[in-house]
Amino acid sequence: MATSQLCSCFGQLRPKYKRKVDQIFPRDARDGLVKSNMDKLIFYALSSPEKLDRIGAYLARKLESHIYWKRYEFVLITMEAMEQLLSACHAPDINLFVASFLKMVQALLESSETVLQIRGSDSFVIFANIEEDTPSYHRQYDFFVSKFSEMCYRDGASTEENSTIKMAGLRGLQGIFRKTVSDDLQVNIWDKVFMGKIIPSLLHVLEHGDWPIDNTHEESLDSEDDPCSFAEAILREIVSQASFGNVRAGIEPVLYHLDAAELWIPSEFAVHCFKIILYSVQNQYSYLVIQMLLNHLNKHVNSSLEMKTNVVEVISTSVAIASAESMGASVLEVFNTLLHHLRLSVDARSESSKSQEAFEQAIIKTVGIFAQVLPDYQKSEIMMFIMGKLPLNSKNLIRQHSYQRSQSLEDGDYENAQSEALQEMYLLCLLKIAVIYNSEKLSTTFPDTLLDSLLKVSISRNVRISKLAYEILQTLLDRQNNLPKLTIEGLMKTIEQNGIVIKKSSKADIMFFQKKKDELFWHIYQSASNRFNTTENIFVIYKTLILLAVEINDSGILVELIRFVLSLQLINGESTLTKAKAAIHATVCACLNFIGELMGISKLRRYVGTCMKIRQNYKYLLPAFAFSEEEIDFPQTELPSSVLISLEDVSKALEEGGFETKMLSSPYVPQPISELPNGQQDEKSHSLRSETGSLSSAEGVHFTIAEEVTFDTLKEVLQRNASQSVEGNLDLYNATFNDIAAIADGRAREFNVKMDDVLEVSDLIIEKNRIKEAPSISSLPGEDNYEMNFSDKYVY
Amino acid sequence: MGDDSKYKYLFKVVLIGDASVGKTCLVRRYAKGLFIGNPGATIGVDFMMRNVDINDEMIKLQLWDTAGQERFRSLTHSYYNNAHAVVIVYDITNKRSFENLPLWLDDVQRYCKKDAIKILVGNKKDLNDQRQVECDMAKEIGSACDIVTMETSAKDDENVDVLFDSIALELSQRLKNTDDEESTAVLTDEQTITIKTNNNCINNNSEKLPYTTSCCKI
Repeated sequence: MATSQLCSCFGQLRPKYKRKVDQIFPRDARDGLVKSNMDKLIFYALSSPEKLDRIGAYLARKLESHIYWKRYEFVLITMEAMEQLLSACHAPDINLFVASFLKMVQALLESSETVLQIRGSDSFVIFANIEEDTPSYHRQYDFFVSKFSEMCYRDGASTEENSTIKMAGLRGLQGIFRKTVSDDLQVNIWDKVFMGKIIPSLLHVLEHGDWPIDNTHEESLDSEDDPCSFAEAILREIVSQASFGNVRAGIEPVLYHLDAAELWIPSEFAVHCFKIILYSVQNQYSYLVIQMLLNHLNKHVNSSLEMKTNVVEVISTSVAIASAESMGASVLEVFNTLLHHLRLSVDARSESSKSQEAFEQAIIKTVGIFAQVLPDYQKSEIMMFIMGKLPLNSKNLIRQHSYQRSQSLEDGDYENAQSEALQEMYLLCLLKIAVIYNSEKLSTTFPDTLLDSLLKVSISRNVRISKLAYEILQTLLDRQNNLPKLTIEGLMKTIEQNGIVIKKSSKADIMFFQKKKDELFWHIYQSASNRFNTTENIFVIYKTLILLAVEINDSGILVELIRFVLSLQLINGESTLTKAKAAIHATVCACLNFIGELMGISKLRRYVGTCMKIRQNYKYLLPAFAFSEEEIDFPQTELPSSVLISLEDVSKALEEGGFETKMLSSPYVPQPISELPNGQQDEKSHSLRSETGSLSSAEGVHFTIAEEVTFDTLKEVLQRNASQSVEGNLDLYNATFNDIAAIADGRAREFNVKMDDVLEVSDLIIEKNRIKEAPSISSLPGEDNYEMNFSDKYVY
Repeated sequence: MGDDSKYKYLFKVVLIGDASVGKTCLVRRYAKGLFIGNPGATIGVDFMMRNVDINDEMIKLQLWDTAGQERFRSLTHSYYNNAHAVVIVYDITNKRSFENLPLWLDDVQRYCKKDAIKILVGNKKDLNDQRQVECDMAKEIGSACDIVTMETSAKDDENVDVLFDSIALELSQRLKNTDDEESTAVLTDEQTITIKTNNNCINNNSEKLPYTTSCCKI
């Protein structure tokens, strides 16, 4: 006992814990940690945990001296010992011990030796994985975040070493994130200071790895070794942990990084990043990401078009992924933003550059994708919203066109072109939504505002806009998916051959049509008479008519439709034949044929057949030829009336088919809606838009109001009047009593209209109050209550 | 143990400035005592360490050498905000790098702690014959923004030690002052005033800094 005391008295001068620690180091570093002594140290630490702090501090000092003297093997041994102690000891309060541990890790990381840095990051991960009972409020991860981020940027000579160092850095970052994210009492890892370093580092690694271009959403096998896929995994982890308040903190650095490093062009990387983000972010927060992207777009209003195009592309990809969750509280805001950018782009249009077009197309596509995730009622709301934004500049509507031409063309031409371009863009957006809108009831599909503005646009003098408006109309009308089946080739084929689906229409639809038919017919008539029409335009009108017939499959309405279709023959009657005009005639033919089949009147079809035979000499009037691309030389002479389809023959055919033909007795006369006296009509437009000049009285006296009447309109009026009186005379000779009464009634109405106008014009200047009484004086029977009032007129 | 393990203070110093003005060379010269001609563009950020003995106290300087290239701006900005000192470097043979200084100063204003030390450094003093930026021009900016200016040469090891050592000195003195004040529990503005007056004295000869005097402003 005495000897042992004597021998160890030298050693006794040092505290026991120091001796224990010293004993774990071998004489020769190559021997490694002395296992047995290490176990003793652990046992000692466990049995007297109060000594743990001092053991840690002592080991830390030893480590630093080893580093200083570059005894790297001993450094590694020290770390091993420390790690073993850390995992073995679960003392309730190891904060101080952890502090020395972190100090050691920091010392390793500060060294310029790669090996030590990697070792440091490994140790940190071990530390990150242990659970601590007591939070440490004062612990700082600032250095670690900075250093691990720095490691992600390592760019040395050897790729392999770079890769290992990057992996070490990434592991460290992951460790810090895991350690802190779950605990509110620790440092807030979502702070800008941290995320500003972590996220750009991840993206940097991601960018320089060979990330898969096609994101097939599968875990790469080598995610353990490949920094790139590991960075992706960490990014996913971070984003998926983000709560409502933190999403912003996580995404903002991404946007910032993409900006600074100019990674928007080309778009692949940005798209890849946001795919990762959108697939990982908690569903209910997806809309936040999309909102941020939209805001980012707003922030970059003045950036290059290419960049903006790519941002929009990223948005559309993101929306596609987030689907229903991509809409936050402000649906309109989203569309407003997109439309705003569309508008800016159109306003800035100098020459039609490719990138501009690409940008606009991208926005339109995105509008469509956004709309896809909305329920139907919201789609309809959005359509109305876009319609409300549509610049309905009356200048470019047909009716004033001739007037404008007589003025000066240059006046506001540029402005016009711009507003037309904008209209076109908005309509394209609208079409995108219309395509995915699932129309059920026509009255809900077409709220008044939507239909009205759509029709208003449909008579634009720009045939492209007009065509677009019709396409939207058709898409919304078409509920049985018949639209693609209506082709030029199928013009004269039977319903069955074309595979058109027909269903009986509901009462609500018929009501809707009854209410809207005047507007519809007038606008279709107007757009058919547009001088700039091409055969394409006429073909869309044809499709619209057919769809109307299919969707509102009611005999009464079909008769009215026949009446309207027949009136189309008289469009621009005075002018020489053009391709468009020939196409109109062909359309009339094809429509009648179709309706005949729809109503099951073989007689009507036969009649159409004979007409076609007559037209063999006028091939260009046949549906098969009228819409072809061929150039045709039209004769300068007027068409003989024999090739036209006559009202009487049609009504005869109908009568024999057992249908009510009262309707057909008077031909359809296009009346602008503002002329139709109905209750809801507002008086202002009534008095201002007095276009009654286009109507003629039966006596052939023309009351024309000086405004807006040009040579063209006068000519049109004359022409129509002539044809009307001829038909009228015929009627008087061989029509039934009912027909004559009907004609008389028509005259009475016209007379009333005239009276109305005279009163109106005189009153307009003197006192405006009278105008309000004017409709009541005339009390014209509207088309709606036509049947009802008939008995009264009968007396007349 | 005879090592450097016991340091009293640890300071973070960040170097910023246009690409290829010599930030990396400055740091390497100071931390390792080497001059490597063309180290290549820094990717992201680089890290170096050096311990300085000032008035018998060990002070540890963490030197964060940031990339000057625009595309790393997203990362480098986040390194400013916890720095104790910012060294804004320009190249005296490159007018462009000098003209961009307002942008850098703007960044510093925005991202740095308000009390961080700022120093404006014109590097590559050894290439005096190709000089494009006169000393006075830098001084003008310096006095306008209340920033100390100096010129260095990493190649000739001129003023490099002075630069970093004075940062260490100033920072440690500041900390000491606050420590003292805290110990007496009197918190006044006196400290800032004394430093201010101190600065005014040396502002004029700031180009050649006396080793032991503070060189910085708040």
